[in-house]
Amino acid sequence: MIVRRIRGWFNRAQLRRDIDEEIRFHLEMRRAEYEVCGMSSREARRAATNRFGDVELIRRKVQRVRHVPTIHMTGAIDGMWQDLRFAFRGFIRQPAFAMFAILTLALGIGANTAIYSLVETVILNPLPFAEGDRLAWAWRQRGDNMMMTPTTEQRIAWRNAEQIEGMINFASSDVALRIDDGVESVNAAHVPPDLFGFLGISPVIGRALVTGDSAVGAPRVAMLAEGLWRSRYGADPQAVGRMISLDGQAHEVVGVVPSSLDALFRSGKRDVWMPLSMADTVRGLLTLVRIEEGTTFVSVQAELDAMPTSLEDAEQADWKPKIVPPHLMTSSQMRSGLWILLGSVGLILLIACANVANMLLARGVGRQHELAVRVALGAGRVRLARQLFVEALALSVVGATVGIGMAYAGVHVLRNAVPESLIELSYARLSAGVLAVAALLGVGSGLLFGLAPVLQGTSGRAAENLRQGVRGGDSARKSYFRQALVCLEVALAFVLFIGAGLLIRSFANLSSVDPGFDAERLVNVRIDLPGTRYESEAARMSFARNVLQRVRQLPQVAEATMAMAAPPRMAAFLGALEVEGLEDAFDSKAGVVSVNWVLPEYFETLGIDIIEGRGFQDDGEIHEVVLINDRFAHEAWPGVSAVGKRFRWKGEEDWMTVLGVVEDVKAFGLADDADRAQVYQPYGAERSFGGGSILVRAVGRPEDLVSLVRGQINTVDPLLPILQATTISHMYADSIARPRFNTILLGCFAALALLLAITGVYGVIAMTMNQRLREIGVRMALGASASDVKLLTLRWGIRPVLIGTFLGAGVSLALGRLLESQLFEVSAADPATYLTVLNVER
Amino acid sequence: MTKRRTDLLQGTLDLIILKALESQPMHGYAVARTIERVTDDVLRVEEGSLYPALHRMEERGWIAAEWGRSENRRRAKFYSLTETGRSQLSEEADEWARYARAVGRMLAL
Repeated sequence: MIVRRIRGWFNRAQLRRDIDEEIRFHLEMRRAEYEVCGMSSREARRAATNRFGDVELIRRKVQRVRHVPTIHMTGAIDGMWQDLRFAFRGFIRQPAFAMFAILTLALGIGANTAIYSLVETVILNPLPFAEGDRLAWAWRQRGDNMMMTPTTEQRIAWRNAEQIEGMINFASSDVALRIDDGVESVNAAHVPPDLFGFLGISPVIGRALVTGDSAVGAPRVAMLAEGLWRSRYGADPQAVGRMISLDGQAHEVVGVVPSSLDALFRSGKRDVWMPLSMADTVRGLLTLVRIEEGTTFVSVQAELDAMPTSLEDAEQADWKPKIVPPHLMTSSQMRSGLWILLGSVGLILLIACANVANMLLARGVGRQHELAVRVALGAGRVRLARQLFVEALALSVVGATVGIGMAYAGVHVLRNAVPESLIELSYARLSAGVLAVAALLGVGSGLLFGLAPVLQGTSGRAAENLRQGVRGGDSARKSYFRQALVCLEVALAFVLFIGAGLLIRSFANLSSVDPGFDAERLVNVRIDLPGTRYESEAARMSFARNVLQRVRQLPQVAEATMAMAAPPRMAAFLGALEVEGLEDAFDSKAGVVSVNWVLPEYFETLGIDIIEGRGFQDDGEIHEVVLINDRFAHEAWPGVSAVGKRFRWKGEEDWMTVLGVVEDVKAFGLADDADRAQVYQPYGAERSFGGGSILVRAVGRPEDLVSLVRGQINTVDPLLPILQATTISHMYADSIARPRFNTILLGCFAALALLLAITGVYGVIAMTMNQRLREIGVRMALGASASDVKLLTLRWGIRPVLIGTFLGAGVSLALGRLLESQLFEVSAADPATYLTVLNVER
Repeated sequence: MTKRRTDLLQGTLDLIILKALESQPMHGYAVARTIERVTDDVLRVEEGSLYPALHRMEERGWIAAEWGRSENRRRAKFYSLTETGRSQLSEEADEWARYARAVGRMLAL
């Protein structure tokens, strides 16, 4: 059946070509004949055509005789082209209308394109490598906690799993890069040489790492990351072959790694890439697996679950292997936040379409005469509809093009503006997939808003309008349609406004969370004291004392201290605690204990009050004594004083005695409530390691102090790399970067939606007024007062707005659930937000 | 001096075309030329209307078409009379003769 149809189609196409050729042959023979008689070739051609008759008409007649449909491709394209030119001429005649429509669409499509590019980067295709859909992360998990580094035994087991095609382990660390006479701490990736083949990545220039590079005794080599190569080496090809000093050892640069590989690291971009075996201090081993073709992540997980676990180490056996698809590496809050943003821009595009549809309808009323004349002159319905659609599509395609430009600029700005904690957003780009979606949106919205004028323009009453004389009138039905569009716009804008309002309130709550200490004017400079040069505890201690003494002498400094870590980047300890006298291990609920090693003056410098007992002493005992937070004290020893009580890490011998109880601190950020138990040990006690944070309270602006503190550190040790130098309040701000990002974007979108809705409402009221001018005149002549007319106008305008508002409120209440994951101490049906938004709408 | 030209009577176009094709197959242009030559340019055939007629007769099976080479080596569509076409020709020719006789007799009164 289908075959016959296709053959029929081909036969018809062939027949059509034959007819054309036959006629062409005839005309040429005749022309040749006339030319022989002495006519010029132009005259001959005209005479031949004259003698033949209306070529197009005859062609159609023949086609009809042969049952060939007369519309053919070239004709349709010619017609389209004609329509397109006609459309653009119309736009040029009404530049304000065209500009406004295009701008509206560009904003809608641009916002969608930009947000979609974020969704693609973070959720749909987070590992943009060859066959990336078969890549997944593997780690070990116990309850809600995960441990990245697998044991050697597990690594071997995973590698041997039948459904796992390949696996690579890699790690990262900070290394000191020697630059001129100073050093700088840079991020290093430690990767196995087969990583490049595994991911199908080739270097920008030079060569990739090869197996021989990680052999014992091989010459030390490294690759530069594209970012560092561009920023520091000016993209100089000669950089390959140069020697650089990393952690005091010379390495030859063999190549440059493309920036796409940064997507492997969620802790930030890498600067240098080194063979894995060379890494002596790595932060943790990440595992990326490629599953066999035709298998699923679920079935691979099932295979790993079925593997026997070694019973030797009960503690380790608790940690189950887990296969994690790449998009799940991003927090679920981040993901749902992005979906919400995508939904919001979708609504904006709908509003934009409704707006443009309204504009086209308004324009259509003015054009009714033109359209009626065209119908009267024999333009068919289809023909007319095509013209109107072409006009709409022309608008939307131009709008989409401008929108893509806006999205490009937007994504570019975003890439450079995202804070470190939202690093994955900075990998966003307008990929081919994103552009395809933008094009689809362009065409789709064109068809959507194009529908309105088509329905209006080709309705049966067009001819009637002509007969009536051109009043430029508008039937009641169409007027209702336009009011319904306004209603829709208002409702959608209302939904967005509620969303933004809720997020703003939630963010305000979040920002006003008390970190538990005085985080203002506090500078944090993180350093690493390499074991090679600071071997003994005494050496590290004397360095710390030396630096602190110098820093305290600065006039801009009020207080200074040192600790292993600083909130909101406290060290998390995943082990369980045993409280003396309690049978069961103390369940610290979330399973995370934050631990810090601090100098005695830490609590005073940060402004953390000691509630009970006493703090550490300068020359006091540093082993087996701890301070704990209030919450831990209450949960472990309810009703009694914790001072003097003892607890220990599960599996260890020594008990630690509680010296005192201090205030709770938000150890992992303002929103985070993961840690219940906070434990402080004296700096230099067991389990602490080299380096830490130098914390300085400024007298004035803390930002001015950062470089001064750096200077003091480098006076003591010019070769010591500074890992991080910032202010604590900046770090806390960074800890709520995600909600801030969502709030700002949704706020902007709501404002945009409101703007569009207002222009929509204004447009329709102005239109209605204009058309009812005569009616108003009659009313006034019949004795209506000016205030009556005002009331009438208000009623026309306010009715769709009111209905829209109620619709919007209903939809918002229904959708509120979606937003709940993003809210902090605000109900999704927060009455205050609803009331505020209602006022704004009014 | 210009010759007076007579518009073709309805229905006679088919007859003329069939007659032209009787002696040998020819392409559309040749059919037009033949009609001009033989009728001494008296019968005005709007050349274009030739083609719908040719295709209609092809559809009816009176004539068959085939692509071939023209005298100047160009691709052209040649029409030839089929058996049905031949009997149609004699039928229509008889019809025409009867008609012409009738009109002639009337005029001879």
